[in-house]
Amino acid sequence: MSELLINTKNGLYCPQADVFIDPTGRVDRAVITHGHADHARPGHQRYLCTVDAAPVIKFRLTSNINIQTLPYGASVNINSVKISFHPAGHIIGSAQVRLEYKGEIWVVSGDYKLGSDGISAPFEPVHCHTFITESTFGMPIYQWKEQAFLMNEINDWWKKNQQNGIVSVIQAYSLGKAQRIIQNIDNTIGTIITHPSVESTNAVLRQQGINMAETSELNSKITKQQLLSGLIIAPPGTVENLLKSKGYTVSVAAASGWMAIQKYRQRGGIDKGFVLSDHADWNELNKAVKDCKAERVLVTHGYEDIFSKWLNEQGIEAHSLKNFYK
Amino acid sequence: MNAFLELLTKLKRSSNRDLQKSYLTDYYAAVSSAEILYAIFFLSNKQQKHYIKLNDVKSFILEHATIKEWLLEASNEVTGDWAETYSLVMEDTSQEFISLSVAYQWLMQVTMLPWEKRMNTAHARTCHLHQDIRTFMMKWWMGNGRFTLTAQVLVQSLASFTGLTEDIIAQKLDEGFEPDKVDFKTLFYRFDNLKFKPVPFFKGTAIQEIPPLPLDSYSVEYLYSGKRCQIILTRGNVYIWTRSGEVLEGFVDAFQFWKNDIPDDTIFEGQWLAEDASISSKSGFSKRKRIDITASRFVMYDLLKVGGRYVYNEPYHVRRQMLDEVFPKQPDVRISIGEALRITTHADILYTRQLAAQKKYKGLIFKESAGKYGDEKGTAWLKLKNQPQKLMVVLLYVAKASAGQPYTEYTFGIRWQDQFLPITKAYEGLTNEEQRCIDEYVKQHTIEKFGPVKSIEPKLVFEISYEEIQASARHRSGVVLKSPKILRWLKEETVAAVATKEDINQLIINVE
Ligand SMILES: [Zn+2]
Ligand SMILES: [Zn+2]
Repeated sequence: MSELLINTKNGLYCPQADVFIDPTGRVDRAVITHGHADHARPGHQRYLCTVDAAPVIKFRLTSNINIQTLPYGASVNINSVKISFHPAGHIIGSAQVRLEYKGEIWVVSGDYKLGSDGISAPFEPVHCHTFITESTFGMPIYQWKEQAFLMNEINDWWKKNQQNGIVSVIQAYSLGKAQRIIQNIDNTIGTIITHPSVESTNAVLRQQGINMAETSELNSKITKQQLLSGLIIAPPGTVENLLKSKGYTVSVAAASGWMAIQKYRQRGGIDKGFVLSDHADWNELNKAVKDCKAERVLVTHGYEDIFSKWLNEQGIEAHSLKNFYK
Repeated sequence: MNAFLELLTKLKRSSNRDLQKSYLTDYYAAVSSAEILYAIFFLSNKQQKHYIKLNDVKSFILEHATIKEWLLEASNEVTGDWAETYSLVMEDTSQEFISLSVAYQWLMQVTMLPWEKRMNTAHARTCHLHQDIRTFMMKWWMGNGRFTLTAQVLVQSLASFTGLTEDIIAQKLDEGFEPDKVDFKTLFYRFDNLKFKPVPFFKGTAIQEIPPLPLDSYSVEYLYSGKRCQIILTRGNVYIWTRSGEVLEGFVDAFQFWKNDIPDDTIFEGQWLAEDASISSKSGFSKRKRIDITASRFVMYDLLKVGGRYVYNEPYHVRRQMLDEVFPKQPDVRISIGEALRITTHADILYTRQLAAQKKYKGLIFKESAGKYGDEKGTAWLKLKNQPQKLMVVLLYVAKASAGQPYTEYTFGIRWQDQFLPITKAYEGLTNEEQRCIDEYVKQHTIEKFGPVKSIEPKLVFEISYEEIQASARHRSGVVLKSPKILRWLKEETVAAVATKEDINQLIINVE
């Protein structure tokens, strides 16, 4: 019997429904888990995503794409395949994709995390027969701390810089991490200053009704005083050198799961690393696999071999996605 | 500790020395001087000792984290550091910080434990700490604590922070220190502790017989009594090191004006001929102001370093020549160069031995002219001690180690006016039969008892031997004897034969 989903050169494909999930090549019909560039690509004929993910996807890919949306939990039937989205907790609008055909249920996790970040809809486990999970941080060395603890770390770093006349720059991609920091940082410390690419994303999200703390776009209207007391949120490499060339002392922080590892923290260009990730850590991956009660787990997007070997040892049938379809 | 860990990360991130120096000076300015000491300790720390074994770390993780070995190994491939792998896998929810001094204490405490307890204790002690601290500490325990910061960067940063010269900082760091036992000020600003180290003292070999003639390949000198010292003249300071590792505080003034004539960074070796043996106790210098230091003098006989260049591997005759050259034309009257003795015949040796004894020196020393200071066999210096001296004394006190035992401690005395003064104790040299006779005598002739000690009627006369006699203000007799032994009991002699204080004075006056 052929599988409900198969792996093709364009990515995961459901032959019965004739849809691709987060396809890499140009396809007719694409189901998109979330707006990140490695998931939502331009050039497809038709798009299907969550209501919350759609505005950003349109904003990033052009507004004239043919896009159909579903709220979390609602479903469409495409050639007898029931397709629905369920919160993945990764970023605003991010979803797991559930596909059901003749009682056979598959869930594609997309990117996800279990910890609540205060801005995206929290992850919901979805029972299924086959669970396709990401494994970006599928090793026991990756175990995240509470968000509140990390935010305190960031607050402290910011305050200390402020006292020492140092400009605080925190590197964050314009969709996801940026909003998470804006939403959870202590904005009584100073102004939150955002790079234009972050600010334009914020505008889209605010427009769709997301409540977000006040931010000021980094432009010529920002005063020296604001720079010295504020927190600048900008994509990596966009503002640091400019500020330094203007004579500011700058402390550059990165917020990412990779910052757990010393050798990554010690790479040039970063003065401070915060272990703040939008992906599941080791414990969350294990919990997600357990909670969805899958009979079979396919591992992709990270430590595929290691995490699948581990799951097999735990008595859960698992394969790395790439080997499974060989 | 937070600031220190940030500093470490910054230092590791940049290999630019100027940048590293600025990180260090920024750090010094930001933290307390106590913390700086600990930081310097860790930064200059060369320890690569393993206090916790890798296998113990691995089995601990495997036991507590319920993962298998392959996964642990795979994890470690990502981090590339077992200490980090440990602290990441054994992640704890609490993330406390501690001060560097507390971290230091805990680090040291674990090193004191038996091997099998270390890993468990280390974990129990640190599991609640911030992960970066745990990694740092475990690294240290595992012998990975060495941080490859160029010594020069640390030295220069401290020099600019303290205002001291790099030389001094380098010397201070080189000596090492325990950050919990010293404060910043004492460590860096006390120059009297700035102990520029002496060259390891060369012992030589003791001989019993006069070496065969001719002695052309040797330089014969007196084996001086007193204290062997190395005098280090460096950077405007004078350090007088004794062989036992003390730095003498007295006598430095004798070299004060002298040092202007000597190339900087020079080490002499010589002997301090102290009149009074009690000076030689450590406390003697600072506390006993009454002692007249001008009564003692220095004899210089070797040159080990000159103008920053070590010369102890040069042949002795070359070193002596250099010594003559650098020795000031007008030294302090208390400092002289040791004389080389002319010996050609056997009679010369006997005569000079006698002279040595008269001068209260220990004997003669034969130094190989071609020899290094400190050859492997130790035969470049041959030391011939004087034959033991003899003295007639009277038995004053006896004591025993415990009841029921014979007396084993005998105190002997000399005559002074119409009384007797104790001069020395001796333990060895009597036969069992003689001991029994003395026991019998004590029973009949005890005058007083002071605990285990009994004073007896001073009638029994003995001959004792000793190697050296030294003046001592702390002893009533005014002298101490070195290596005293009972030679024999002179049963025929009366106390009239016993040496007097005047006789003793004669023995010690002749120090020139
Ligand atoms: Zn993503
Ligand atoms: Zn992704």
